[in-house]
This record gives sequence, structure tokens and C-alpha cells, in this order.
Amino acid sequence: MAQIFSPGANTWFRTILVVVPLALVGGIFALYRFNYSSYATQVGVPIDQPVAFSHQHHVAGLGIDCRYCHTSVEKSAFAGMPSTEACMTCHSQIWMEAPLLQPVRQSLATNTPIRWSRVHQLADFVYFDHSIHIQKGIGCVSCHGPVDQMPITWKQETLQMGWCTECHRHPERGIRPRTEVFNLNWKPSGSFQNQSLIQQAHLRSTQELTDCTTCHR
Amino acid sequence: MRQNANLSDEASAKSKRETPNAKRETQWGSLEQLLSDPEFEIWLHREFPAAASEFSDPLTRREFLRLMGASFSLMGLGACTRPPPQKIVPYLEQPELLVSGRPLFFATAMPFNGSATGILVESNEGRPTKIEGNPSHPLSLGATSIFEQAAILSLYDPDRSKTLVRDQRIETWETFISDWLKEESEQLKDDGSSLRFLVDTIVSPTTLWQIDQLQKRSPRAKWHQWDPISRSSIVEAYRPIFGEAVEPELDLSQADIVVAFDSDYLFESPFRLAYTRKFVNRRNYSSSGVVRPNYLYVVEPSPTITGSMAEAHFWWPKITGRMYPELLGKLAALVIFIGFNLTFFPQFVLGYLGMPRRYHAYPEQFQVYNVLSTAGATILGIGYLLPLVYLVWSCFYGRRVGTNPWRAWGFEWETASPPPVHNFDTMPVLQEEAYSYHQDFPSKTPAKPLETM
Repeated sequence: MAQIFSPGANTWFRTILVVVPLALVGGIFALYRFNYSSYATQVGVPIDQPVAFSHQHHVAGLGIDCRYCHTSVEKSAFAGMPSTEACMTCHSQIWMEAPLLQPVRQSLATNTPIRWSRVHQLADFVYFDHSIHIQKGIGCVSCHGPVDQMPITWKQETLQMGWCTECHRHPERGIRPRTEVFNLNWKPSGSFQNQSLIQQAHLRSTQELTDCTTCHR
Repeated sequence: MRQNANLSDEASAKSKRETPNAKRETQWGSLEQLLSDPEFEIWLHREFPAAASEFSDPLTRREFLRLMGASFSLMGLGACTRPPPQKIVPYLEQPELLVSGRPLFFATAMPFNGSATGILVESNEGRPTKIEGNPSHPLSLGATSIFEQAAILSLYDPDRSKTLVRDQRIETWETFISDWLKEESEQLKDDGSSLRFLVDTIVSPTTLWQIDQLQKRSPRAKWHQWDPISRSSIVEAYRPIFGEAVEPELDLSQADIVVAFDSDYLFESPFRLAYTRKFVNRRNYSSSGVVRPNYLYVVEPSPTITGSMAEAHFWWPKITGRMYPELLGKLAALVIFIGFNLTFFPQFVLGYLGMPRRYHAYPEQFQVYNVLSTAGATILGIGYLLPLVYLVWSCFYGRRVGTNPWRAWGFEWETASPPPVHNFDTMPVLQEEAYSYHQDFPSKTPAKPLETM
């Protein structure tokens, strides 16, 4: 009867014994790392826009309030994007010839809206409402980062579920007075004051804030 | 106010266009089929468009399944990457009152079956998504019925024209208006004597005013009104009382007793939503302070078993061409009446005494009612078996009947029993109003077909 196993069978078996578990563990670890990589999350990656709009210039430089362009942020789930006419309110008077603003002028001339690239994109199965976060005293900077330092807008946070629940479990870390919501430079002074802010805002309990149905409706 | 369509006038106009004896040899399901539109032929060949004809060929079918299998197994991989980039397209000019991400509500009215319901339409950035009642409208009072709820779908009907089309080409309103004005001046030359309009029941004051204006300019034009489902019989029934064909709104909040004969007034009336609200308000403690529910008696509001049995007996000679023994029919009706009441009246008493339906265990004193009910159900069963026997019997041995054994008024009783294919061999002529119930049945012979031209 012929031999079932070849002379190299033992070597093969030992190699497989080592390589397969290593590959499994390594693969899982790689996937885990990939999930947090800036390639997957797009954190810190400036997004190309049809108009090279600089928040740094308009917010830090000129001191324009967030709500001048994002008009519905206090009233609606969607923060709102400025219409072409909103841009032209000023740019029909200043920088009228700037080549940078050519797409804006063209939008108005050809009656076609500007197609901005979305920077903060949530999955469709998540319900997110800007207005409630504003009303309860969560600042723009908590999620969007130092927008006033961004020449081209990028994403500051991962917007992953773990990041959301972190704040929903510990709202005292993010809450601020209602008057300071749009102040990008305000820093919390102490957790005792924040507890009273939570009471003032009639914030729901951590239990309710972390209910599945709070975000997955 | 409504006008009745001049039916005989229409029928004669129709018969002039068609030669009545030209019987169609083939049947057709749609206009496209009749015209043998090549696009339709292709569609018919692959009735389930796209992949349908793949399945007739075993080789491509295998290919199809392989591709689909691969796509399905690869679908999961899509979740491993980040979502595709999206665009945000803001307005060129932000509309007034609109808050991005929030709906606007528009008050409008929906004409339906000779009335109009005041509604609020929810619109998300110009896209209507939901219809609810307008609380300020007297015919809605904040409520809607299934028709208003379903009306939102008609806005997304793929058959609905998205733009102005002429000869399959998109046209502008300017072209339409200039063409229409040209056509109108042509038609108005002889006071519009060759102009005819076909409309349904119009309740819009604006449209009525426009019709009035057009009638002044073309006094000889004719208006025809026709509804697929009309309330003209109900409206006509009020003529002896009010002197004109109107439908009054009854003040149900004042009615202590409501008796409805074949009237589903909570569903079919133009005032159905207001009626429902007023009817319920009388039962609502908080709205009136005093509960004064009105007693409601209803005779056949929708097809009941008794009604459908009567209907079956009414149409049987028309369907089969043969008559069943009428005496047996009356006997069956009596047996069903007795059986029904013996079944359900004890149940009513039982419920009143506190026993819920469909409980197998109950106190001793309820026994006699339950036995009565069981006996009634047996009689009811016999009552239903009787028609089953004699109706089947009549199919083979029943007396043959002519076109109109009941001496009925309707159109359908002027054709042979059983009706031929396409119901009428020749174009019939209506010589009477459809709902002239107050008149005696005419002694005339069944309507003669029009002479062919």
C-alpha cells in the first residue's frame, strides 16, 4: 500500500498550525485598525469643493456667525446650506472679480445651484437633529471641531456610534451655556457648573439618552 | 347644484361616429394593442421587462443566475468600505417661509364625487408627502377619509404627465395658449354650435365662473356632464322636497334618532367627515359635557349577506336566462330572516347581560340563550342551503325568461338573457332618465336599435 502522507507532510502541518491562527488574528486586527484609519473615517481629510470656501477666513477672520449661512440649525434637523443668493449678498459688493468666486457667479448666471460635497455624512439609519443639540447646549465645536481654523473644511470626529454614545453617556463633558453654543473658543470651566447646566436644559437621563430608539428610529 | 347629463343626446352622438353593426372580431386589452404599437409588442413579448425573456433560453438563464449569485455574495463587501460621497445642493434663492429640513403645509381642497374636502398637504422642499384634513374646513374638520389619504399616490402616478405634451413632444404653455386661442376663435365663429365639453361634476366656484364666461361667448356650445359613479339619484330625490336638485347637509348633532335606508352616510356622503365628527361628538363626554348618543338604525349600508342573496336572486335570470321557483326564494328569505334573528338576538341579550362573545365557559343562567342561538344558526344554515339547491336546479330545468322578467328600468335589462359577448349586439338607446322611479314602468317594447346609416 502506498504512503498516504508525503515526506513533507509534517512540515506542512506545522506551518499551517502557525500561519492560520496568525493570519486570523492579524486579519481581525488589520480590519479593526482600518475601521479607525483616516481612509475609512475621512477624519482630517480636506474635501474638495466646487468653491474653495474657507471657514477660517469667514469665521475667524471676518467674525461671521455660523447662523448667517446655516440658517435652520436652531429650528430643523438639517443645519441648512447657504443659497447662492446668500453668498452674493456680500460678493455682489466685494471681490466681484475674484476668479475664486467664478463658480458662484456662474451659478447665479446660469440658474444652476452649486453642488457642494458633503463633509459630515451619517448613515441613513441614524436619526440626527441639529436643533435639539443646539437647544440643549451642545456647541458646534463639540462635533465639528475648530471650524474657524479650517481653510478647507474637513471632518474632525469619526461620527462613529462609539463616539456618539461617549457623549450621550457623559453629557456633562460637552454641555455649555445656551449663549456659548456658537462660540468656538469657549472652554468648560468645571464639572460642577456643567451639572447645573444639565438641570437647566432639562436634559433627559443617561438611560434615555442611550436608548436605541433615541437615534435609531 | 348639479345637472344631469343628456344621456340620449350623447348616445345618438356616439352612434353617429360608430357603425353599430361593425362587430369587432378580435378583442383588445388596451389602445396600444389595438394600434399594434411596436413598442407595446416588445413589451408584451417580455411582459416582465428586462430579464424576462432570459428565462426562456436555458443557456442565458444559467448565465443570469450565475451573475445574480455573484452579485448577491459580493453585496456584503460593499458594507466594508465607506459610503459613497454625497452632494448637498442648496437653493439658488431660498424660498420664503421655508426652513431647510422642515415641511411646509399648504391648504387646498380636493374635489371628490361632487364635493370638496379641505386638506393640508405636507410638502418637503417642494415634494408633497402627506395629506391630512384641514381643521378650519367645514367639510373636513381636520379629518380625511381613505380617498384623501390615497390621493397623495396619484401625484406620483407614473402615468401622470409631468409636462405639457403634444404629439409625444414636450410643449410650452405659450404654445398651448396660442394654439387654443386660434382653435377657440375658429369654434366661436358660429356661437360654438360645434363645440362640446365633457366634464364631471364640478364643485369649484372658479371653474363654474369660467364655464359661465365661456358660455356667454359661445351660447350654442353644449356641456355634457358625466360621472363614473354618480350621486345624481340621491340629489334628484331631494327635488320634490326642495324644488331643485340639491343635497342638504343634515345637522346630525341635533338628531336623537338616525335612520339610514341604504345610506352609508358616514362613508359615501359629501359630508361624511363632518357627519362622522358630529356623530362621534354626541358620544364624547368631554366635547358636550353631556353624553347624548343618537340611536342609529341602518338598513343595508353596504353589502350584507341578506343583501347579496337578494342581489343574486335579482340578477340570476339575467345571468343564466332561466327563472328559479320564486316561491322557494321567498321561503328561503323568510327562513334566513328567522334564522338570523334567532341566532343573533340572543347574542345581543347575552352581551347586554354581560357575557362576552366566543367564550366556551359561562354561568348556568346563560345556557338557554346559547341554545337558542345554536338553534337559530341551524335554521340559518338551512336557509342558505335552500337557494344553493334551487338555483342550481334552475340552471337546467328553470323556465326560460326574456330580456326583462322584472320589468326593470335599467339599461342592462334591454339586452338578451344571458347577455351576448360585449353585452349589446347593437347600440341601445336610453329613452328615459336613469332614475325616473316616480314614473310607472313604460308599457313600451324594449328599445329598438338605431337604424344603421
